[in-house]
Amino acid sequence: MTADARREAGISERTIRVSVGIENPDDLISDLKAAVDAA
Amino acid sequence: MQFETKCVHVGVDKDSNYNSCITPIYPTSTFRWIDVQTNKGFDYTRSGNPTRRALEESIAALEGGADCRATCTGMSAITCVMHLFKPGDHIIAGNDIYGGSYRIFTNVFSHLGIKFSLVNMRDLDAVRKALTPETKCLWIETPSNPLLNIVDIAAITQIARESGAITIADNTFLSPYLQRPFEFGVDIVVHSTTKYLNGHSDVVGGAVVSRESALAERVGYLHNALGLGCSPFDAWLVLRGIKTLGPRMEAHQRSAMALAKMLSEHPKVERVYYPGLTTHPQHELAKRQQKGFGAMLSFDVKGSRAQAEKNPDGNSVFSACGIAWRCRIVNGISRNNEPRLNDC
Repeated sequence: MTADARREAGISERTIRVSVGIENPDDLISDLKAAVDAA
Repeated sequence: MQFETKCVHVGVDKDSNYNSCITPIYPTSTFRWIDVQTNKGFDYTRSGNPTRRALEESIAALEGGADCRATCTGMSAITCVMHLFKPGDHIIAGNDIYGGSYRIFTNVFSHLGIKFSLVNMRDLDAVRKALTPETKCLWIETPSNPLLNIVDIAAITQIARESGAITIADNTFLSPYLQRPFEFGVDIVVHSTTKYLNGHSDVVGGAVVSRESALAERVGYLHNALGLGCSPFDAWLVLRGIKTLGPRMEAHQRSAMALAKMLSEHPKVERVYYPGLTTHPQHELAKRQQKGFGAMLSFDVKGSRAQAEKNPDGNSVFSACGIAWRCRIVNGISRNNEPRLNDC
């Protein structure tokens, strides 16, 4: 998609998509939380 | 037979030679004829293969369709259905669809004379306004990627029926365990089996499922003519993955809800896109047409892009979709500063 098309669709440059796996949920939460804490 | 039972018991017990419970892999290009008039149902693997056929039976049963054709990628499933149309035909799709669909619509099939209008599919008036006498198809992707917008499937199929168009739904993100578009009148369902149907991140594949046998016959013709079928080994992998679809989806979406809640309370997160949150603008619609909310979610980080690009490894961008978790910055920029397509 072009940058304009993305903007029109509401996709920001700061959008992060997560595809949630089947690891233990506590591990997922602590990893993602650490990543966002560091942002 | 309940859904999880179908996952385990459809497409198996195909081996009359040794009675293996699990469908064997038949890696052969050709099948021997008994005489010049008769074969055992298969002739040439592009046209049909017993392992691929078992997978097709399985996916057709899970979606509740008349028949299915399994393809080598999700994009080849879309390639197959695009050949239902001819130059001059018009298709309406969402303006927030998967990047691979956007690319093949706007840069491949539009060059062959098919016209596309990309609109906000949540706005039914915008969909009606986009209709032309040449409109032959309304393309539904719900939830959308990456913003998790929900399209009202029943409302779109109603508009399509009134205007003589068919509806095609990309059901990749929820899988038939969580959403069955045929129940809302959709004509064709396409899948990237790469994602949840296979679920083990070890194969790419696709599927085209037709609700009625007339369309299924045309899809089957195109699938053979275009040579889009997946290999017997790939078919076997997907068939194997499907057996655990139900329990996997439950585990996926349980964690997705927990992550969505954590993110929505995080001070550095501006917005969370997850239909399972009551704050999602289409939470009620999602509840109505889905059995669950799935395991894809997105969020906006507060601050700059540089901050969004930080991650636990210290590199930019992590990536795709299957048994293991993945994150990715959605709006990638390539070296020549052209927008980069996130292919998964």
